[in-house]
Amino acid sequence: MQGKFRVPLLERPDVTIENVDGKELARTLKEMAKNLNIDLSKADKKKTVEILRKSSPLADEVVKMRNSG
Amino acid sequence: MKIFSQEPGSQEVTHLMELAHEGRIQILLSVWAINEAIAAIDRKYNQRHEITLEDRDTVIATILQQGLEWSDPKYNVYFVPLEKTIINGSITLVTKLHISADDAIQVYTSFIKHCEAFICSDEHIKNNVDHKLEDMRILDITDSYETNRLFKCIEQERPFY
Repeated sequence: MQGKFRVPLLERPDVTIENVDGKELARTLKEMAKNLNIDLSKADKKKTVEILRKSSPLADEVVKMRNSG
Repeated sequence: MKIFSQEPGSQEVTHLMELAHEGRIQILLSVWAINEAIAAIDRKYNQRHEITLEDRDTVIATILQQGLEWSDPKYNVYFVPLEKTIINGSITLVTKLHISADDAIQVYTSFIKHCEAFICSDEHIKNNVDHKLEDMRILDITDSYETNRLFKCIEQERPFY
């Protein structure tokens, strides 16, 4: 018989998880900033690119972090 | 993160974001990605001593501000909450596919939300998960062949799998 049949590794549950509502997300992010004592007016995309250019790749850092537990 | 950090895959991620902003695709992220990004930045300050405290806070402010910008649905970038279903379901992937608990949350979030592709730059996830979860493909954004194929599928409005 031609063709391959795959047994699903796990069933996709029949539940709906809604995306975070935009307003709720905005509230969450502002709350995070407050908890971290971060002044959002200090956000600066150009400066951020410069800062990250000087250091090791950020995505690699996340991968290392995830895999090191 | 790749948008601000110029590294392999950054150009491709920026292009994907542009496609989302144009309404050609939808991008989903777990809200957990924000916490992870902040943790990675903090490591650069606290453990690697690569950046100053002021730099760290500037980057965190920029990440949070970018999230605020994307909270407007017109950008087609959506955040998925970390619900009990995701935490409970994702643990299966840890033991069956041998990926970290953090990776499992991200992968399971994409799976449960019926994403066509899970985009990463992690060989371990690619090798351990691709072709294992129904028709959701795992794409390594630094693999130019795969990424070009993805862009072609988007252009032709064809499914990626």
